[in-house]
Amino acid sequence: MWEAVRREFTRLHWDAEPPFTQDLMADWTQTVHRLMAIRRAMGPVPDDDPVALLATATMGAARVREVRSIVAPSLQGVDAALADVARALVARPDDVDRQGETWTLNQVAYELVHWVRVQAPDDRAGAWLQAGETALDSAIHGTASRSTMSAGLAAWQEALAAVQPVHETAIVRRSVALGHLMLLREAQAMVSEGRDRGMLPASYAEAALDNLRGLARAHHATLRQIDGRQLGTSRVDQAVMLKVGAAVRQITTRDGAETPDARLAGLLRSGFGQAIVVGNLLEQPSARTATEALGRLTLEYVANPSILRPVGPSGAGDGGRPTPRAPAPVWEAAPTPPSTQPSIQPGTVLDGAAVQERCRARDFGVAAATADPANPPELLRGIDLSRWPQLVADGRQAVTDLVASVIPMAYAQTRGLTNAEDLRGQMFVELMGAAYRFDPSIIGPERWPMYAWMTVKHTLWRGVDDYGVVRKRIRGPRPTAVSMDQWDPPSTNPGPSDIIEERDSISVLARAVEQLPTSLRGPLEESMRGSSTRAIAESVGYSESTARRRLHEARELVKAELAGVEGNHRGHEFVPDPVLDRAQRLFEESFGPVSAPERRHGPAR
Amino acid sequence: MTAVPMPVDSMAKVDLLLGQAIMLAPDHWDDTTATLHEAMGIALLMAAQHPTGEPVDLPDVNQQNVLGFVEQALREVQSWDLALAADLPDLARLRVLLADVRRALVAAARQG
Repeated sequence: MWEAVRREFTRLHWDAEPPFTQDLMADWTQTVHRLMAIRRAMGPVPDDDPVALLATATMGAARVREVRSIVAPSLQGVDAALADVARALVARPDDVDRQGETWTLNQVAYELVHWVRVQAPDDRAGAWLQAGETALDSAIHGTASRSTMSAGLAAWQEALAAVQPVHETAIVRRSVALGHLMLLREAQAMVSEGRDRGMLPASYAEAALDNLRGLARAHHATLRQIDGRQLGTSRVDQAVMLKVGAAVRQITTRDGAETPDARLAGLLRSGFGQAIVVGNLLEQPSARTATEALGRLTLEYVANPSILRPVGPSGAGDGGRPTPRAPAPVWEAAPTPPSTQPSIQPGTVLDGAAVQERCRARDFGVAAATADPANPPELLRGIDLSRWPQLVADGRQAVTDLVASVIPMAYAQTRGLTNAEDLRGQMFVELMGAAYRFDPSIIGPERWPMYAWMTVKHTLWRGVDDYGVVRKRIRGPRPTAVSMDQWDPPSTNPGPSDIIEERDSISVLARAVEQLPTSLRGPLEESMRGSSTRAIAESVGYSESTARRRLHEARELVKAELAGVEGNHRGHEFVPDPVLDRAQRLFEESFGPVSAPERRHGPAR
Repeated sequence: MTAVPMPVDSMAKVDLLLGQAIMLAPDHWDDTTATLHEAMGIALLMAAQHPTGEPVDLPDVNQQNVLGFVEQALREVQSWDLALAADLPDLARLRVLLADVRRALVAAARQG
């Protein structure tokens, strides 16, 4: 599978007259897309995956301003070969030795980024590429399990990449300096602990501590140059600062289950929070010596990870030290809850006022999600833009609650039927659509359960075929669905485990939809509200085939996300999770047929 | 969600005050500095989540020491409505941290 890649590598190094590119970074960005496509084909990609870190490092390098275009041998041949690998992996996912292929991918990515870094004459872009190279180098020479620290450091690297285009703004420089200062303090505490507990050689620890302090002094100098009272922010700055703040909070939040060596390893692998990149961003001359020294210490660790000796949480030298208190969890955007779970028990009867209130929240959410900030609709006038994301979240919560209040109807109507799962899935989708369509000013808020009931009955009437696909409306008689064993169930009410599973399934599914990019989420949500493909295409202004393709892509992504969540939860033990299984099934069997857009053939000759 | 207005100007002020305190804090890192840094992390995130459009003024910025900035930040945070806790999950933690830093700094000042 990798033969063509190997051949292209050889050509890259030995071809006497290779094709040249005028802009190596543009080529390289494309190549990283290919590498990510391969990585995605092998399963869900956590933020701290080395290839994901390479992608953010590349983003940072590409955003460095005033870097001359680099003329170098073109990577197009490698690109094409990598694209073939991605296609081959997608085509036969079951035959893939994931561990082996991941290993090969990391090696290929490492060799490539090193080649690109050597070609890049700019130090700042080179520092970013070095960050990606170090991440891959670490993964190759010593695999590490995921940790809160490594995830936080991945978020920090991503924040730095976002900072790159606006790093000259005083308020952003201040945030980066303060954020890194906190990270350095955390590193100092970890290295001191590592030295005291014999996890790190004393000489290494002392060198690290000296340079951590040196860099902190440089950051202090940077902060003194910034007059805090003169800071102004643009919307871009705010978005960037939010990323920085969230990453810092994640790093300084201690996970009680995380061992000190795991935290320390994460810090060392990250080049102590990308010290060189931070130094370049802040442009503080006094930081240079310390950042370079920290970079060298990182490479020393990467080349020889055994210098960090693991000690268990209750290992020798612990000295009965109390576990640090874990601060409150980080919320990325103001009071947005981490996921859309029903805030009520399934089947809770909502009175008219409660339905009215939720419909109002829903309308605000829909308006906030679709409105143009420059020209807000009447509904959103006077509401600060910073509150809009919260309105969107509240709106989704309201819709989830409306559906949760009536979801037992789906159980009551399908219990005992042969295709109950398919029908329930379809009913869930139809109920989501109904919750969006329901207009209390016309029908009356207290009639939501009746409206939902009609929706459920309608779905039952239409039914689904053996493949879970909704039947077309036909006038002729429809075969009656009968249970396999011809007996009526003892109760038409769902059992407690069914309710819990259903509630969790809704939230898993809703979360997966929420994570889609806007261009895909919009059409899918429209589809969930019952709009036809034609209506969706008209509402967003593209062709019907494009709308169909986006819907297909959105469904595939949600499907993959559900599979990924399931994979993450299962780990290596392959224990079936009923909630995720159900969410996956709900999606696969009820979001409509997950079929690729029809291939168009030319006219027959 | 509460109906209490978010004190965005005060949040920006706390962010600046703690930034000043960290700038003046000694280079050697001890437990007090660690606590101050954690408080700064919370304030930084809060200020980013709830930005203000107005410039913030810090009076007597050149005449204060670390303790002065921390005390001023603590007063600001203590002026916030406790009902905001529903919207600011780190509010209580920030109050506790600032009170701890102040206590440690006052104790250190008494010892000379």
